[in-house]
Amino acid sequence: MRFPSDNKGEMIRWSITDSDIERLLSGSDPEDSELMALVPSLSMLRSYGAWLPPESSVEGLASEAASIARAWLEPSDGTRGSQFFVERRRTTLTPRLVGALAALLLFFGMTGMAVAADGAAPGDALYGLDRALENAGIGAGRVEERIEEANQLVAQGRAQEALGHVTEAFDEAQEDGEDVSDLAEARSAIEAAVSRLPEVETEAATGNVDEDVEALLRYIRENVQKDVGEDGREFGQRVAALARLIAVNEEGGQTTDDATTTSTTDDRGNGNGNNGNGSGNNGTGNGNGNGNGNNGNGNGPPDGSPSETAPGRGDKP
Amino acid sequence: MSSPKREYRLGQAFEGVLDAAKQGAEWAWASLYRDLAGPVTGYLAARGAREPEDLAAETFLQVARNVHSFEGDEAAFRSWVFVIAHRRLIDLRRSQARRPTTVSMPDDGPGVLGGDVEHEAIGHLVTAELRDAFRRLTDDQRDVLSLRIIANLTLEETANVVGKRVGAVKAIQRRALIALRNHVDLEGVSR
Repeated sequence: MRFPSDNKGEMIRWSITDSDIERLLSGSDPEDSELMALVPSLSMLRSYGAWLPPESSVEGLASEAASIARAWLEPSDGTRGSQFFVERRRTTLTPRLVGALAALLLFFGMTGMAVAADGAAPGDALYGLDRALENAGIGAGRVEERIEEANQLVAQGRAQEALGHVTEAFDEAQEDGEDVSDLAEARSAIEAAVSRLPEVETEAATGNVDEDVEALLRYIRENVQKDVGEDGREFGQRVAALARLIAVNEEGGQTTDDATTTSTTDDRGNGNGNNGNGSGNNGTGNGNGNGNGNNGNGNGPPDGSPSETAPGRGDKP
Repeated sequence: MSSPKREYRLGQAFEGVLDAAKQGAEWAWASLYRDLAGPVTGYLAARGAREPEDLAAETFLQVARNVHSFEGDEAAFRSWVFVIAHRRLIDLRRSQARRPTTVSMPDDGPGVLGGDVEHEAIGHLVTAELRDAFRRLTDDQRDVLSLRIIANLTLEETANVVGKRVGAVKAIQRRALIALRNHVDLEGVSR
């Protein structure tokens, strides 16, 4: 790596190719060493796009957007006025969210840099970011982040990848020296729970497994947000218990027979409650957790609109 | 992250999600928003929006109002969302320009990479040097770099969003990188 530090003030006019610029801008390492020196900076910039919105704001916005879209479809009295009464409410960031946002940005910045720069230049910059992340006090940001991503993957019907994400998160927790004996158990339980995914997916089934895993991930996510770290052991046990229930659930009602899944879903709900922490957790999500076994319409409020009763993503593609 | 840059999150599911979104399914909108809120908010924050999350939400509601007329694949959808976000940003700039503070990025005002107090704090964490280097770019250069990098748009998509020809955008991004490289070097960001 050469730095033309001895001609400060002069414009650098090195010859760079368009394709090398494309490499840099799309997140790969450029060949030109001068461009390479920009990788850390651009990685920081890139991290701005990696922020994930809090679920509460996702739900709020999804609800508003959906009703706007519906208003277009169902012009009530000949006018489309109904779409205008939906006013955007202000979402002001709480300090806690700000901290989380900062941590997420930093986390992705670090990841991007670590991948992109490949140890070339940004060691010190990484160190600074690392410290900043620690100072932000979100030690579990990594796990939390992965689980949130996993949740999104499941929402998109990519449960296998979601499992990979959770596994990675647990591995990272292990590397970080947390007590993961129970997390490891939880992981294998999750693996068992989704081991049937391929057959389910090839059968183009209605995505019950996905929804169950989604519920599980939501449970993990919400609880990770609550009590990370200290309570890892108990948390792991709860996750493992929930995962087992899902696995049992899939054994029994895997082909998405409503009648069978309903009963097993009830079992799982009880299991949640018995574990002392689950009574409100699935319910506080957007309804997927509790609703997934009932009639397949786990998503969205049951307002009677036909479009709302459509099950998750499984039926559309 | 393990996934390549231009591999979209929704992939083959997009068509179904879009369809459901048009029908007013909340899960579909949640899915779209989860996917795009980060890049859109990040873009708006980097371009000086004071309340980028609110603006991103407004962008999405605008998307919802017009989604019935949208036809296209996921790449086209993303690009379209950023067209709307960019328009919001332009409106915002115009309104901000009417204030005493100067047009784009006042030195002692909101951070270059962040529009409000919260993001300003992040901007500090990101490093003052990068903020400073970014501040020295022109509005066009910041637009293009942000769209290419934060929004992860292609050259063509970026040209579409900013309403310029591809060749012009190519030249802008090249100049932006050269300028950035000079400042990064001088300011020691890469040290």
